[in-house]
Formats: sequence, structure tokens, C-alpha cells
Amino acid sequence: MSVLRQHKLGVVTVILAAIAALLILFAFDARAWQSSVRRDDIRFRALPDHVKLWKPATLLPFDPAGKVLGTADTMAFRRALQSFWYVHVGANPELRADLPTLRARAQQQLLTLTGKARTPGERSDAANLLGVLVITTPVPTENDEAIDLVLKNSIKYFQQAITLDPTNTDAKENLELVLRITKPGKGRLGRDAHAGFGFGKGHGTQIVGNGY
Amino acid sequence: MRLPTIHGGDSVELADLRTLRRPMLRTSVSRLALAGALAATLAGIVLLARSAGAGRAAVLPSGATTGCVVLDMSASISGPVYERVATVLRGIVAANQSICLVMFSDTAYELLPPNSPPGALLDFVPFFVPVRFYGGSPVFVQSPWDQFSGGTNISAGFVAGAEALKRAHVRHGALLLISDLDDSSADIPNLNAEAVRLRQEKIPVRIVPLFATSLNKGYFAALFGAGSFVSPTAFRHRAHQTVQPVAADVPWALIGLGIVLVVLLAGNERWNARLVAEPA
Repeated sequence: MSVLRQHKLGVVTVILAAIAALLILFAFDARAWQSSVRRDDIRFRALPDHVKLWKPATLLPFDPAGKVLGTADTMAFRRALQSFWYVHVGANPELRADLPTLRARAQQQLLTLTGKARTPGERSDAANLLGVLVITTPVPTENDEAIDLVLKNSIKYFQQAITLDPTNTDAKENLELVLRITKPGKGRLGRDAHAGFGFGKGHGTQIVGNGY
Repeated sequence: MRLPTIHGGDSVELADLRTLRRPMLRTSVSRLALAGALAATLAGIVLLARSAGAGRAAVLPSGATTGCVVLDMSASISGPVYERVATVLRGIVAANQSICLVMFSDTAYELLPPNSPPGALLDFVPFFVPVRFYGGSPVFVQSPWDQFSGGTNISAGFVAGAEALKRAHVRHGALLLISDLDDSSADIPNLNAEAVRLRQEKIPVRIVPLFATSLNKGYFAALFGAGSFVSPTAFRHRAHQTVQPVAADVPWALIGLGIVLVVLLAGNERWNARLVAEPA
């Protein structure tokens, strides 16, 4: 104890140096996250099935920088997007799984996001992708009940996407396409969207402007 | 001069008591704080101990009050697979947990409503126990649902199980699927939708795979999570190890509070013990 008291200054210096070193490593990790997300977002457009996307090589164990930056949310969205892409191409290079399994994984990830994503925009995008995932489920042509279920569920997800973000035009277009399957209309796609297709009766969810 | 203290009698009046005022106050505060902490810890232990020892069937998720067994009776389930079904049913009976039973193949129907006494399952066990062996293969008694067995629509079983729980107003119910997981491909859209519905309604699903392929297991793990599978140890039979049908979580909170209580008592003895006047 007395030795510690004698070298009090030295001990404090060592502790402060250790803290400084940790902070520097933390800063490096934060930087790695930033650059990795920015770079891999661009890479995803070209190589959506790349296995090492959004996996920065962090220096500190347990990735405290990622936790402080709150990367879990943004990564969950990106991973769900990539899972959706795996369903689209029918294979996940990291996983030996058949299409129903890939579909089920993507469904669960997107479902989580529709309730927990950071922004309403992300929640809406997730619901829209979920609707696309459902409507593209292979169903035997003779199984009318299953076809009906798929259509109803996809409509539900597209409507949820529009409710979450009224500016989500992708969801609106998808909803219109599905509604045209259930109730075929004569108008061109998107033409009667202003008045609301079928069920809408002109009551849109989008915020109405105040004229010119 | 005499100041008020917690201890009433046997006090010695001191001339310089005023100088001891601050330490005395500190001691009284620490005694009161320790007494409060001890009382709170004790109350916590009593509250936690009330629910301690409440086990559940090892095959059901923690927190489930009533489990609904969703049993696959499709044509692919027969022979040696029956023995595992019997083991699971016996495990639930031994855990003394209220239960419901739904069987499914192409369609599903409810055999036992939710909150049925576990002993009711015993009536079904004989159908899954071989009556004799012929050429090394087990032979089972003819069951009433032999004609019922056909394709596999697991979603139908889940729908029937979830509806049974809802009808009986069961809160914290769970579904226990016992199946080879070889679902019909035509049922996949329904099963996906049902998985979503069960998740939204917060009905947990546990799965006992009956010699399922890894591909099918992977699909169900993606739908319900890898943790939904019942550990194979729940069915292990050895000469010196019997099946453990009842499971309970380790009472970490109770253990923690016990440690806190010991520390507080030790602290009380260390800091608040009565001073012993030693002879000069």
C-alpha cells in the first residue's frame, strides 16, 4: 500500500495512458464502422451476395464502438435486405439452405424490422419487402385457399408499409399491382392512384398539400 | 449530558459525549441503512421463494402455464418414431403440467382441451408403446386414427392448437409440435403465415423433431428460431440416467439475494457490533 502511495503519480500516469490508448482504439473502431458501412453500401449494389459486407475489422474486443454508435439497428436492416436478396437469387453463399428456409429467415428478419426498425421509413421499407416476399411465395396453382392467403397477407403488408410511411411509392405501386390481380381494372397502372384504387375511395394516406 | 440513542439502557454517561456526536450519528445512520437493506433483501427473498421450485415439463418453454401438444399423425409417423412420442407424453405427465392435445395430418382436431389434467394423456400412451416385436420391428396396437393419417399440413395443427388456447382464454400458453417436420410443399405459404401470426400473438413454439432431416430442421429453425428445438437430452435413456421430465430455471435471483443477505449480515457484524471495553 505504501509503495502505491509513493508512486502515486506514476500509477495515475499509467492509468491515464491506458485510458488514452483505449480511446484511440475506440476512435479507430468508430472510423472503421463509418467507412465500412459507407463502402459496403456501395458494394452491396454491385455484389449483393458478397459474404463480407458490413463486417468491419474492429480492434477492441466485444466491439464497444459498434455498441456506442448503435450499429445493431442499421446492420439489422442491411442484413434483412441481403436476406431478401438471397431469396431473390435462391441461394445464400454462407448457408446451405433451401429456398423455403431462406424465405423463412428473410421473413423473420423483416418481420422484426417492421416493428423495431429505427425510423418509420425503414419500418415501411421492411413491410413493403415483406409484402413482396409473401406475394412471390410459390403456391400450387390449384390451391385457391393458399393463393387467397398469399394475396391477403401481401395486401396487408403493403397497406402497413403505406401507413408507416405515406411517401413510400414502391409500396403504393405494389399494392396497386396486387389489388389489380384481385379486382382487375381497365385503367393504366398508376393512373387512378390519385382517386384511390378500389377500396381507397379517394382517401389517401399521404399528407395533402395546400395548393399553389 | 445524555443524547438519545437506539440503545436505551446500560449506558454510561460521558463528559465528552459532545465530541462523539458525529461518529454516533454516523453509526446510527449506518445501522438504520443496514437494517433497511436487510429487511428489503429478506422481503425480496420471501417473494422470490414463493415461485421457487415450480417446475415445468422440460419440453415446454419457460413461463408457459399450459402447453398444447400438436402431434403429427401423418402417414410418415409410425413405427420406432412412436416410442419417442410416448417418451414425450410420459414426460409431460410426470411434470404434472396441464395440457391440451391436438392431432393433425391433412386436417387437425382437438382431442383434449387446454387445462386438461396431464393424466389424461396416459390414455393415449399405450397407442405409442409396442405391444410386441416381430422380426426385430416393434408392433403397435391399431389406433383409432389410422384412417385419419395422410399428408402433413403442420399449419393446420398450429391453427387448431392456437385456437384451442384462445378459446380457453389461456394466457402464457405454448405449442409443442411433435413431428418429423416433413411438411407438404403446398402447406409452406400457410405455415409461413401461421409462424408470423403465432409470433405476433406471442405464442411460443417448441419443437420435438422426430428423426427430421437437417434441411427440414433448418427450415423450422428459420421460422421459429434455433432455440425452439427441444434438447435431445430430454429423451436420453441410460442405465444410470433416466429422462428428466421436469425442468426449472436456476434461481439466480434467489441465489444473488442470498449472497447479498450474507454480505449485509457480515457488514452488520463488522461495523455495527457493540464495542467491547478491553481492560487497560
